[in-house]
Amino acid sequence: MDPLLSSSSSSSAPKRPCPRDPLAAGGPRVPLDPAAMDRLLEAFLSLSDPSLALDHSLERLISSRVLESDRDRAIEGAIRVGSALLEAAKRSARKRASKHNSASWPLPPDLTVKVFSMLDTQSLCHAAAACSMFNKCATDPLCYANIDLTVAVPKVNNMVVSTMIQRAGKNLQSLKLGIRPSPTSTAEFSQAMSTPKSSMDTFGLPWNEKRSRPRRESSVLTRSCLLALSVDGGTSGALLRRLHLYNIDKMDNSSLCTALVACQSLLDLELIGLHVELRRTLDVVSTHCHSIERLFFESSDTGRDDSLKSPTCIGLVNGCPNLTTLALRGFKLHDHKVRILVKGFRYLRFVDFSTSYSITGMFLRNLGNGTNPLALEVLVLRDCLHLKEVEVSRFLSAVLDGDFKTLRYLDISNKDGLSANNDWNYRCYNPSVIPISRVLKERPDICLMANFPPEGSFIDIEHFSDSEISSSTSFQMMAAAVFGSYSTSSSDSSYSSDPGSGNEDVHDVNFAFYGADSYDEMEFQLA
Amino acid sequence: MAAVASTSAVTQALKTVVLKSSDGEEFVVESLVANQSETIKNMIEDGCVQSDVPVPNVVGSVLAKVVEYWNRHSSGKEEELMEWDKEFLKVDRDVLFDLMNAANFLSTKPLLDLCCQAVADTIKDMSVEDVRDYFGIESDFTEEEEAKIRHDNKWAFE
Repeated sequence: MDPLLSSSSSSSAPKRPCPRDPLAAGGPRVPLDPAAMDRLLEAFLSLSDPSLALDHSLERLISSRVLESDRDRAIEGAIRVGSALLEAAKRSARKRASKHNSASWPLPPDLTVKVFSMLDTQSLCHAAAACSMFNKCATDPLCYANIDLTVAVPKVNNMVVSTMIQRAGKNLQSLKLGIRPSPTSTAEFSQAMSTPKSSMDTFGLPWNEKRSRPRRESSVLTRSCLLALSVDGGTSGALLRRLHLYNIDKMDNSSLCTALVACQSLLDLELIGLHVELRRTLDVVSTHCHSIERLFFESSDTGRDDSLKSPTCIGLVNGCPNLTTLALRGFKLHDHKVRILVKGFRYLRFVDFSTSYSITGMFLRNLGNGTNPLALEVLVLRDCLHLKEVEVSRFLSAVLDGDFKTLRYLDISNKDGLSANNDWNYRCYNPSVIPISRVLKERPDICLMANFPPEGSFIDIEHFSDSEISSSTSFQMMAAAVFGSYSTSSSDSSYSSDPGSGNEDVHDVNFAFYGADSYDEMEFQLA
Repeated sequence: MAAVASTSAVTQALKTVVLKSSDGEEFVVESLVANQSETIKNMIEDGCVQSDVPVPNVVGSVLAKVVEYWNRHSSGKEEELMEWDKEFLKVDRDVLFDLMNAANFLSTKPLLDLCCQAVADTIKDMSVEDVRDYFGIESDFTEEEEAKIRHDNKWAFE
């Protein structure tokens, strides 16, 4: 906008700024004095029907011109003035909107930034586009401390990830990528899980809501999506405290390991549906993520990953002493390896081995007593195919005897029922051998989930025929038989010949567990 | 030494404090409970408080809610408290903002975090227009500016 200089024009009529036509060819432009300009504009603005009045006036002006070039200039001038007025009006509207926004927004910028830092990244971008005040707040790196790109629409690519990491700068704390699986259907489960503040102080998350299969859509993220964490000597990775990756199809072992190497301050690692090997991942975590407190690992291919070895368990226990939450779901786990884990972490409180293959529950024996009893608060063994009814029964008996005083949540539900002792093909759907009602009564502090298919009891042990199952007396006989065969088979080969559990390779398993501590110390010395 | 002794004497003597809101309402609060406010805690420890604590930025109705929060949070189990918090925050948007500013002024971090999260939860999954409508804000961008913002974060607007 040209500054309006006071001129020495001898204009008298308010509507006509200058005696000479400023649009005449070759004529100099005479600037208006501000008062005259204001009056002019005032006159325009007070037109009741501007379009009509201006239309006619312009027509008359044009007709009064003789030269064609003068007429062209008249039209150009009208366009110029018209746009200038429009722009001026828009600018004023924006200024007013800005003023209105800052007057009506009740929070100071630092609180606005705080709120923004709690948003997922897509909502943050929406807020930033709402107005300039929000946009300015959204440029604060604090807003990007918790990058959450787990949007439903998989349009997030590697570039977006690195951009957000850059925007976070030194404030980077948490990164979530991929396509979230839908939450578990059990409402009580997630309610019970919504609390554990003791281990989740900084994060305050419900720790266990996701269970089901990955969605149909696949992410466009490639295996290099985490590169930004490793560049510049891993400066960004070193800041990261939480990393959650969901269903990133193209992620592979080496890329994940490279990223984890950089994440030395990691406290919380959640990997669901990635095609990576359990053993390799845990090895990297043990060697580089020594501060880790929460490890949640769900296999992309249930029951197939058999990679976990004892040295890895020992390494993890030694390398990550602060672990309080451990979830390994959908892997092939063996009791003696799992036992290394549950006995080895001093602060372990939350354990979840749902949908695991091979573990029978034997690892739970004699855990809750002795010199260093496991102070477990939550134990989830949902849908473990080879989880044996006898082991569960033994565990619950220990609980009733006063072990596991800190336990407050136990889930042994199984959509296929529990495994019989000798053959995992035989399922126990309604196991009354297990003192569920007693536990509910005597330990009311424990939330016990034991949902089995409603087909009623279906204990099918070799000595009994199907017809005897329904009667209650035969039920008691079956219960006795179960316990009976169990206690007499201390060195029975029936245990090690169990085809499904894969425990064949362990010798003298029963004796080893009865002498729990000595067995474990031996294992530890292997480290 | 003497200073410490006198401070602890003061804190011991001060069982309750009286908080005065900006519109003159008075609230009697146990000192221990009021310690949830870092601001008040420091004032008491520094011995600046006789009995009345003026809270000039906060009106009575909002201060009442803050005191309610403190009282409820001085005891109780975590799970129950979380349920109570959810109910507690079922207030009008304007009250929520007032609560936030009050919690900020009084340095009660848990309450502040709670309120911020509540506001964030309302913004979550909103479109740009929804955000504007809900908070009564107007766009003050030029067309070019708005186009650039949307382009820079293209993925978020598809």
